[in-house]
Amino acid sequence: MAFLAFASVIAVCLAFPSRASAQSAEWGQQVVGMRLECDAHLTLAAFPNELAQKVGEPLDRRKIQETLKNLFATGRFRELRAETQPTAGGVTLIFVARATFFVGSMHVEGAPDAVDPSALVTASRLRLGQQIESADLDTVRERLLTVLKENGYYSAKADSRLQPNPETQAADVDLTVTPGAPARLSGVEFQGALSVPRERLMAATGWRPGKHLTSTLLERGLFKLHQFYGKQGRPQANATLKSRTLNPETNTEKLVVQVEEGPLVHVQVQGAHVSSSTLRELLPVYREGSLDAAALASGEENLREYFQGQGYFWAEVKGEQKSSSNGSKVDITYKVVRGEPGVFVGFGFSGNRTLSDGELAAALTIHPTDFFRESGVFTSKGLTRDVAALRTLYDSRGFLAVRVTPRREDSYQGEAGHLFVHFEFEEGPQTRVRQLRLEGLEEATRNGIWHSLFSRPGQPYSPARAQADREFIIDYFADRGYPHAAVEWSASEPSDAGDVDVVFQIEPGDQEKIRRVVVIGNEHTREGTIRHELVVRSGDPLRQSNVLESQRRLYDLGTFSQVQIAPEDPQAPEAVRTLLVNVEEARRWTVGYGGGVEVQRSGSNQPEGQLKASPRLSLEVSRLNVGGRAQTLSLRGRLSTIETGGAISYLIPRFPTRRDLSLRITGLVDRSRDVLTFTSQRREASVSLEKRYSATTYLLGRFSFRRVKAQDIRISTQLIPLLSRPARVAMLGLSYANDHRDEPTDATRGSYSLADAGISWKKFGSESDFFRIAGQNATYYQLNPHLIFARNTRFAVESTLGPVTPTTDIPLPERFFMGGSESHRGFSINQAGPRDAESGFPLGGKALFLNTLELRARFADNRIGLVLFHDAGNVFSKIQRMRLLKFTQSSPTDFDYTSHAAGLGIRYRTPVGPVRFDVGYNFNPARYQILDRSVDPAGVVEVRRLPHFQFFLSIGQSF
Amino acid sequence: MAAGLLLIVTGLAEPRWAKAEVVDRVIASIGNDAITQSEAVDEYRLERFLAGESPQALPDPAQLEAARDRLIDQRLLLLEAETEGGKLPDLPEEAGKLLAQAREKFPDESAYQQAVRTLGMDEQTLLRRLALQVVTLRAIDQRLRPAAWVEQKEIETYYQNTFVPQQARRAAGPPPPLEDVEAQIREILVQKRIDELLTAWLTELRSSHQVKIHTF
Repeated sequence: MAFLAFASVIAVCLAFPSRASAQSAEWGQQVVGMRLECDAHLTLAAFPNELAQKVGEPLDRRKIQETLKNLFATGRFRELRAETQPTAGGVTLIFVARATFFVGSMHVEGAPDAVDPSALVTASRLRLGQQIESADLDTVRERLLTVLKENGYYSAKADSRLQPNPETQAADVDLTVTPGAPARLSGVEFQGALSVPRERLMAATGWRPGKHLTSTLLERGLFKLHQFYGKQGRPQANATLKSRTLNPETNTEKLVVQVEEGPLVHVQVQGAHVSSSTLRELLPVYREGSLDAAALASGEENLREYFQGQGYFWAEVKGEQKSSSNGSKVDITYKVVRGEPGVFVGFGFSGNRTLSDGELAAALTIHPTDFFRESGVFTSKGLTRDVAALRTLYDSRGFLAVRVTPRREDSYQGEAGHLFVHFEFEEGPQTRVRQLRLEGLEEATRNGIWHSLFSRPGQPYSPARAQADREFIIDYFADRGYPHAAVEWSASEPSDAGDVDVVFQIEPGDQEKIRRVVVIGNEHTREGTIRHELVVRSGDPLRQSNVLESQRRLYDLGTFSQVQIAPEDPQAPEAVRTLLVNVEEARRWTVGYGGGVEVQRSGSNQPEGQLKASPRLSLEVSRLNVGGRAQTLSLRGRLSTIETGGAISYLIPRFPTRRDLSLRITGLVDRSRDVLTFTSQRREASVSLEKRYSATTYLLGRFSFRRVKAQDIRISTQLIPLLSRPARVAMLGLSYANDHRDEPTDATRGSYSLADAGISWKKFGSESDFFRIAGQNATYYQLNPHLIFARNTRFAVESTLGPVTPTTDIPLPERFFMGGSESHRGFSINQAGPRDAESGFPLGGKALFLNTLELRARFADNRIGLVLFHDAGNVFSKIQRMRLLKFTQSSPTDFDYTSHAAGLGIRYRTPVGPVRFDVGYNFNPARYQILDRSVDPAGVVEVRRLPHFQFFLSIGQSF
Repeated sequence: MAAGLLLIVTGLAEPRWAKAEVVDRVIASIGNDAITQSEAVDEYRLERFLAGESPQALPDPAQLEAARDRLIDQRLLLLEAETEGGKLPDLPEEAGKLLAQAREKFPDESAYQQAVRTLGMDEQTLLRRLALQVVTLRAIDQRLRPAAWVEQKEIETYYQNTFVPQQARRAAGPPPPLEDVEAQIREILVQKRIDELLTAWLTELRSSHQVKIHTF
């Protein structure tokens, strides 16, 4: 019985034949449901516009066809079919798909030391967002093996694996290599007609038997061969790698290098001396290995320009080239007649009615004689370029038919050798725009663009301006999510009045929007931290400016070594795109260390110190991206004969979530002897909150709590209890800074301003009540390409909150000290201001003023600098005693006067900033007294004077 | 028995037991432009229609493959025509001429009408498809004819080695002189040359565009 039933079921099932898809009997049946079955997390709801077939409608062949084509056109699927399943009331329509996956993060494992992992990633030729499937991995593997083979890894194995993410459709690509042992060089065979022994060629390449030759070493060796032959007088020599053969048994490789030596070229210059290094820069025969007539003429021109650059404005150069009969030798002779040296005294303009002399002069590169350029700057080529520049300037103002004629006057005002250039202009008519039409735009868009265009009615017309307008319109649309906008322009023939009509035909194309933003590549960083920096958002137009701004903000976090933002499948004609944000996290631990030396007067038993070299070492260890939140923990240590200490700080940028706020918590301990009077031991904890208004302006609020103890005090015993007691200072402070310098470490233009105020108050827990106000302003002016004038003014004052008593005065370590390479160079470090009447050591003061003027000159491509400086100011006992116009002391205990120093400094630019050596001469150094009790207990007064000369060696500009 | 009957009824009534049927699929693509199986079937049927045959039959796998390849070639050529010449023309007159030629191949008007109905396209769609064919042929001609140069010697060789023997086989009397048939022979040879060039061109287009065959 059971068997019969079972057989019946089988019979029934077999009675229903499998149906051919094209003759489906379901056509016309009601579609009661639709779904998508896919290996990625996609649903039909994400494709509302693509579904021609709708639920509740009859199943239609054309609509199914259209829906399949629409879905495939999105680029989200690489395989697609439509199935139907009988359901109560009709059929269920099922789209069965395999999703397209796109390249996400790429990781390389196993790369040998000799090959940069990023080179392997580049070799894979995979780009973020491009389509990828497993079948592509074979090609990737081949490419990796090719790169490894080129670097000597013949037995390397490479593998690549996709890790698709069904949620994002991004597939991480893991590249794994097992390089094996690299092949070593067994020997090199040089082929070709060689005039040089093979051993010398081998030595020239730098290759050695037994060496592992990477592709870089190979290229370098071939280049060195080329250089070697160049020095041998064969600039046309060419060395190419013919073959690289592996011996698998010994894992060694042999190279065959084909050498074509080319002719022996001898170049001489008659009539003037030119160094061989200069000839190598000027002559095409050396730069490019060219020996044709054009190269000869180019050499003549370059030499002429060289001599003109030296002031021989009338130099003539004639080149001759002779080859031997078999072409193995070429003699090139440049005959130079320099003529007399001249002076380029100036230029003038005539016929320029529309543009002023000043506007025209600004376009010129030729320059008359001045303090730094004895002969002036003039060459024929430079003049030709300047004439073209003047023509372009007029063209941009609508003078399309302008003629510019330069006329040289070789004996200006009767003076032989005085060159003057007259520029004569025939401006011609000015062409203006009569009518401008922007076709293909809605009115709102037209209004948005109109006022930014050069080619508006009434404005001067030029093809260059119209082209600039075209590029502006393209950029305008690109920045609003229309990356494929097409813009063409045309202009009518000029009317009798010289006007033209300009028409721009614009096709914006489809706007691309962001479907969603997917973050990949973050292993430690929280996704929220990354998303907080992104300006690109789902639903927004895909603007390039937002992509770049998002990239910049992510880099600013300091957490990532690379940030890439690209759409998935950029080639697909999609109106809505998924944007991939791929980050590569930087190493989380960084270690920095450094050393240096400062040379200046420093610690000794003498009040003015002794000239010493003070070595210093520093170490900094940082942990970035703490907690995945782009926060940083830093530990710093410093060791020198003047200062020893350590600090720990924790930085929270974007505090708590605001991009303009950052919080820093710091604790430090240090012991320093930069004031000769005492050794200070300081322990401090502080919290500071910075609000950044812009890249150049910030406001900083801080609260610091410190305990400073002065030891080894070199002042009179009566002052010790007053000034040396350990001081607990709790200070609330505010700083405002505005920095418009072009380069903070070595500014040439701009300004810097700082205002700072702080209050130390018992209510904060301080033992001492006082306030402090300080200000600084520095400005920089570039007088010419070689000369900068810089000024810095500092002012500071502090005072107790109530009357001064023996127990309420400001403690010694909290007073102002000044002097040294970073402030007044008429004094050594912290030597300015009031001094103890008994020991002579500096006491510091409660007011400070300093004004510095510097004239900075730069030479040798800005590598070397010379500085003339003047420092004026002092530390004063209190604000009421500040005397800026007083230049002398009334007694050896009166230090409230303004000290002036001038000096000279040399700068040498290094990657870490300019190394500087300054010599300062103090015109009115302080006199001070000491009480010598060694002979008479009552003390004998001895008056001393601080030295006139001070020397400083350090890094960085003084301000 | 009752249990067996119950199974049968259950099997009939329960949709989960019914096998899903593929009604259409993507069988080829050029970039993100898909060619579906139904389009290939339509192409096969259109070809039969233009030849004056009933379009009712379904293609076997080889015929479907051939129709698919024809569609790929047509799409590639249309892409090139668009790239070089901009928007494609409508060409209603030329399409109408093609339709009229096809009509003449049917024995009578009712057979023709039956074939049109079986084709499953309205007249507008049919004319559009035919217009695309015309555009494709024009694109081929414009691109390749200038390069399909035929030498005089080739014409003479064809006349001697092919035309004259053909005439002799037909026993149609003495062959006409070369001057009378030169233009025809030239056209035949040009067409042959165009075919060769077309094959090479299509190969190049397939490799430069992302053409994929799908078997999903």
